[in-house]
Amino acid sequence: MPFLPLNRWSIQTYFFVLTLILPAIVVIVFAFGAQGETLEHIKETILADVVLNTLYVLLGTVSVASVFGIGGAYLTTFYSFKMDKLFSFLLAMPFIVPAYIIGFIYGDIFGFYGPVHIFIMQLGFKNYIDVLNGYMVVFIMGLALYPYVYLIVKASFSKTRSTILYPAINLGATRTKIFFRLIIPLSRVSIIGALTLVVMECISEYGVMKFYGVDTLSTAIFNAWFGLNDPQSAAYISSIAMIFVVSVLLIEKAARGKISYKSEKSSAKIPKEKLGFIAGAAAYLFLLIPITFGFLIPFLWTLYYSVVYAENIIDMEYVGVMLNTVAVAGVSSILIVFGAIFVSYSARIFPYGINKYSGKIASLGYALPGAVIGVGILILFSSIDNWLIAKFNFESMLIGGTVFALIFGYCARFFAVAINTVDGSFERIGITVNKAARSLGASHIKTLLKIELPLMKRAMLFAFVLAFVDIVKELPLTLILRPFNYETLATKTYEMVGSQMMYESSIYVLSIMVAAFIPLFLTILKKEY
Amino acid sequence: MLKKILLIAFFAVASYSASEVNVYSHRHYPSDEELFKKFTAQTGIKINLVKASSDELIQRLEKEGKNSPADVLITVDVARLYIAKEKGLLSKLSSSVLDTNVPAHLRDKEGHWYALTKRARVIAYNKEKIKPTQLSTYEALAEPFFRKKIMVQSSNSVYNQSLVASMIVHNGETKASAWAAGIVKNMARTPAGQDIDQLRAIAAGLGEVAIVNTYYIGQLMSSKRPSDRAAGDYIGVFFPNQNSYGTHINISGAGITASSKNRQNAQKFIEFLTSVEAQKVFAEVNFEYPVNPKVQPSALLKSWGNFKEDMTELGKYGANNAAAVKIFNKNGWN
Amino acid sequence: MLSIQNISKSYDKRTILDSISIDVGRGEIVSVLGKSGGGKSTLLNAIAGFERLDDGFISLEGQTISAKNVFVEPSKRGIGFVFQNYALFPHLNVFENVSFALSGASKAHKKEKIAAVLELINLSGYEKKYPHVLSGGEQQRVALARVLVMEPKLILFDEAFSSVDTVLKASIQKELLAILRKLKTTAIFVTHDPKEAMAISDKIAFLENGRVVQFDSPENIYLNPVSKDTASFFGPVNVCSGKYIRVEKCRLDKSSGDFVSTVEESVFMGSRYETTVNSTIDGLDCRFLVYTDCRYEKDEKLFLNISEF
Repeated sequence: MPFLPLNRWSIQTYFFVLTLILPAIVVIVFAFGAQGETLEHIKETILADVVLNTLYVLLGTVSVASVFGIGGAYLTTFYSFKMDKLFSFLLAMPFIVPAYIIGFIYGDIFGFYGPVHIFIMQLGFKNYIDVLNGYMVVFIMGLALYPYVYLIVKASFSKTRSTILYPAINLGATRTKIFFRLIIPLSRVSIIGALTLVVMECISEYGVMKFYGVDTLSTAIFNAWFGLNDPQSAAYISSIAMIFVVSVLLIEKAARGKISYKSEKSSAKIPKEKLGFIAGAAAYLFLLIPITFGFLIPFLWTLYYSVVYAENIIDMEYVGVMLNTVAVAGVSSILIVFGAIFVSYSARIFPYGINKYSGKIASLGYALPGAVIGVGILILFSSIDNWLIAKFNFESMLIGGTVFALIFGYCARFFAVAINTVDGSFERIGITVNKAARSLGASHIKTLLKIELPLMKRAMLFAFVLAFVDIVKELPLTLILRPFNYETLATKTYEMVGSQMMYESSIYVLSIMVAAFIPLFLTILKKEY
Repeated sequence: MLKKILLIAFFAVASYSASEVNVYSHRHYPSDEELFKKFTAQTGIKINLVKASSDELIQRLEKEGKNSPADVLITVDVARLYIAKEKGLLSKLSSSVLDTNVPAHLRDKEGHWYALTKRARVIAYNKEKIKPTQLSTYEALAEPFFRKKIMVQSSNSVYNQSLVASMIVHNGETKASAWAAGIVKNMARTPAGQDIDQLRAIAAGLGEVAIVNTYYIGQLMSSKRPSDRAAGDYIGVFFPNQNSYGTHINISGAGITASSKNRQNAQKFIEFLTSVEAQKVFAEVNFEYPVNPKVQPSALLKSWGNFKEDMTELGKYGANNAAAVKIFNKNGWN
Repeated sequence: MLSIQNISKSYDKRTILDSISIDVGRGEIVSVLGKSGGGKSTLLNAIAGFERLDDGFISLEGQTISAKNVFVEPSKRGIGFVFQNYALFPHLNVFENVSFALSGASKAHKKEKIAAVLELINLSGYEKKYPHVLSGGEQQRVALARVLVMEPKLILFDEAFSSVDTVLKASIQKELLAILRKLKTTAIFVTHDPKEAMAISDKIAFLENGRVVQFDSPENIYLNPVSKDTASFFGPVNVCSGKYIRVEKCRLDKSSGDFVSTVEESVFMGSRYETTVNSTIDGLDCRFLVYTDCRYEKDEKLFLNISEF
C-alpha cells in the first residue's frame, strides 16, 4: 500500500488534518522569516532569561506534581483507611480549578495585607513573606496539575497491583522494595505520559506567570504580540516553545522504549492493606495538603465571595458572558467531536501509510501552548485578510478577529482530547459490525451513521464534555483570538482580577468550576474508581 | 460572513442616527458608567461602550479601517493617544468648550486628543522607615542608598514606560538607561503585581519606597477593606523633582476617531467629560486629578499638597515609548 | 461461479496469499482449511472486498470484482459474510438486523420477507428480541438470516462453528447445511477444523503458508494427500516410501499379513490401544501406528495388514 493512499476518504482526512495543524506550520514558517531589530533586541536581552525561567518552573512543577500525584495514587490504591473513598474522590478535585484561579486566590489570601498577613500581624509578628515569586508559582502549578498525574497513574497502579502484589509479598519483598523496584518501573509509561502532560500545560500557562511576575515563554509571546506589536518576534518565541515541546515528546518516546507489557486481566479482588495508626495519620496529613490547598481553599473562597457579591454581579453582563462561553465552547466541542469521529473512522478504514497516523498528527495542537496557536491563527488570518483586501479592494478585515478564528483555535488545540475517547470507543465496538454492515450493502456513511454512531453515544457525550470543559478553562488562546468585546468566563475573570475586582469575579469563577466538575462527575459515574 | 456585513451595516446605520455615540475605552471604573447614564439623561444621546486594553483598541481600529463604528477612543495613558494619532486613527476636534476646560499643555496641539484626568507618578514611602528629607528626585532613586528598597511594577506598565520616556526626554537615552539599571539594582524583588500591590508591600515592610500613580494611593487609603486602610496608614506621599523639572504626570484622555460618523455627538460627549459635573466625579470617586481648572481635587489629594508638575509636551512621551521599552529589556527590568 | 486466479497479497513484506487459484461452482460448498494464521481469513476478506489484491484477479459470475486495477466496493458485491462473532448490531432488534440489507422496500414487504426467512432458520416470532438475549446458536442463525435476505450470490463463513459448543456442533452443522442445500446457495467456509471441513464441504482447499496445497473432494484429500503436512492435518497418518497410509487402514495380525513387523510399544488410550510397530517395506524401515484392541509386548513379531480402499 502506498505511503499516501488516495481516495475520497483519505484526501478529505488529509485536508482536515492539515487545516488543524496549519497554525503550527504558519508559526514555524513565519519565525524563519523573522529578523529585524526587535528580534535581535529580544534575543540579546530577555530570551535567555525567559527560557531559563520556563525551565525552572517546569522542573519545580514536575517535582511537586509527581510527589502529590504519585503519592496520592499509591496510598489510595494500595491501602485502605477510613474515608479512603472520599479521599480518592477529593484528590481529583483540583482538576476543576484552573491554575490561574488558584493563583490569584492565593495572591489575595497570602499577599500583603491579605487575611493571612493580618492574622499574623494580630499575633504580634512583624515580619511576613512576599509570595509573588517563582516558588509560589511552582507550588500553585504543582497543585493545579497533579490531578492529571494522580488519575493517570492511579489507573496504572490498579492494574499493577492485581498482578504483582501477592507474588512480591510471597517472595518476601518489603513495601519500599515493592514500590521502587516493581510498582514504579511497571507504571513507567503512565508516569512519563502524565508528566509530559504536566509539562505541556506548564509551558502553555499564562495567567499564573503574569500574575506572579515570572517571565516564561508564554508571557514573552504575549508581550511580543501585544506589547511590542511585533508578530515576527512572537512567532520566533513561539517556535522556541515548540522546540521545548518537541524535545519533551521525544524524551517521552525514548523513555517509553520498547515496552509493550501485555496487561493481564486479573479480576482477583485482593483486599487492601490497612494502615496502622501512625502510618494512617501520616497518610491523612500528606493527602490533606493537596486536597486542601488545591481544592478546598479555592473552592470555599469562591463560594463565600459568590454569595456575598451575588446580587452585584449576576447581571446582564454575566448572562452575556455565560452565553458567549457556552456558545463558543458548545460549537467548538461539537465540531471537535465530529472531526474526531471522521478522522478516527478514516484511519480505521484505511489504516495504510500516513493515514494511519492522521489522528496523532491532528492532535499536535494539544502539545502547543495556547498562545502559539493564537499567534499562528492571527498571522494566518491577517495574511488572508490582507490578500483579500488587496485583491478585491475591501476596506477592512473580514475573517480575522471573528468568532470563527476563536472556534478554529479551540478545534486545533483541543482535538486531541476527543480523539482518544473516540478511538477507544471504536476499538470497543470492533471492526466486524462495520464489515457486516458494508457486506450487507451499506456505504461507509450509512454504516457510520446507522451502526457505529448509535453505539458511540456515550463516548461522544464524554468527548464533548471533555472538550467543552477544557475550552471553558482556557485563557491564553482566548485572550488572543477572541473577537472584540467578546468575553468568556475565563477572560472576564482575568480582566476583573487585573482591575482589582477580584471578589466580584467570584461568580464567574464559580461558574467555571461548576462547568469543569461535570466530566469529573461523569467519570465517576462510569465507575473508574 | 454575512453576519459580519450585517453587523457593520447595522452599526453604520445606527451610527448615523442622531442619538448615539460608540465609545472604545480602556477605562474600567463603575463610576464611569454612572456618568455615562447622566450624559444620556441630559442629552438623550445613547452611549455604546466597548472596553478593552488600549493596545487591543488600537489594533482593532487599524483593522477596522474606514468602516470602524467607533466614534471616541479613550485611553488611560498619553503614549497610546500619541500612537493612535501617529497611525492616523484620530481626527481634529476644535471646540472652545474644550479649550476652556482643558489647559493647553494637557491637550494635543492639533486638537486630536484632550486629557480627561491627570495622574502623577509619585514616590510613596513607608513613614516608619523613610523621612521625606531623604527623598528628592526620580534620578536619586538609582543611587546606592536605595539598594533593595524600591518596589515598582513590571515594564509592561504603560505608566512606567512613560516615566522612562520622560527620563529620556530630560536626560537623554544613555542616562535614562543607566537610571533604569540603577533602579533594577535597587529593587526589593523582581517586579510582580500592580501598583496597589507595591503599596501593600512597602506597608508590610518589603521595600521602603514605591513608584506608583496617585489614584492608587487614594484607593488604598479610602478602601472598603479595613486591612487596606490599615496599610494606607503607613504610606506617605512625596512629589519628586520639585526643584527641577517637576513631578511626572500622565493623563487619561479622549479623541474622536478618524472614521467617526457621529462627530457632533462625540464632541458633546467629550465636552461633557471635561465639564465640572463629570470632573467632580473623577476627582471624588476615582481620586484622579481633574483637568478642569474650575474643579478641585478631592480632600485626600489636597492633603498631600500642591506640587509642581512636569510641563513637558505630553506627546514626547509617546514618541519615546519604543525606546523606553528597549531600555527596560536591555537592563533586565522584567 | 466464483473464480480466483493467482491472487497474491503481502503485508509488511510478509506474503499472506501466494498465487492462489480456486474455482467454485454454483451451489458448491467449499471449505478453506488450514492452521491458524495461514491466510484463510485474508482470503475471505479479499473475496468480500475488505482487502485489496497485490496480484491476480477474482471474478464473480463472469464479472471481475477484484484485480490490480479493478475494485468493486464490498457494499456492491452481493456477497454475504457471516463473521466469527456474528457481528449482530447490538442496538437493533432481530427484525432490524435482518432487514438491514433491504432498503426502499415497503414495510409490508419487509415484514413478509423477514417472517419467511425467520421461519426458514426456525426463529419465527423472534422479531422484537435483541441480540444479547439470544444464545450463540440463535445469534448465528440471525446472522445467516441477515445475509439471506440479501439473496446473495455467495455466502462466506469465517470460522462459523468455532464458538459453538462441541456438543451442539454436529446438529448446528446439519441444520445450516440443510438450509444451504435447500436454497442451493454457493458458500465458502473458512475453518481450522478438518472434521468440520470434511463434514460439510463438496470440496476442500487446503491452505498452508498462503498457498493452496491441495484442492479436492474430502475423500480424495483424506485418502490421497499430496504432502505429509496435508495428510497429518486430517488425522494420524503413516508415511512410508512416499506413500501416506491412514492409521485406520492398518491392522495387526498374529498369523498372516502383508508385511512383517516388530512391536515398539503399546499405549492404552481408553477406547483403544495405540501400538507402534517397525516394518521394512521396499527396503525402507518404516514406523507404523496401528489401533489395536489389546496390548502387545515389545519386540513381539506380528503381521501388518494395509487394506486398500
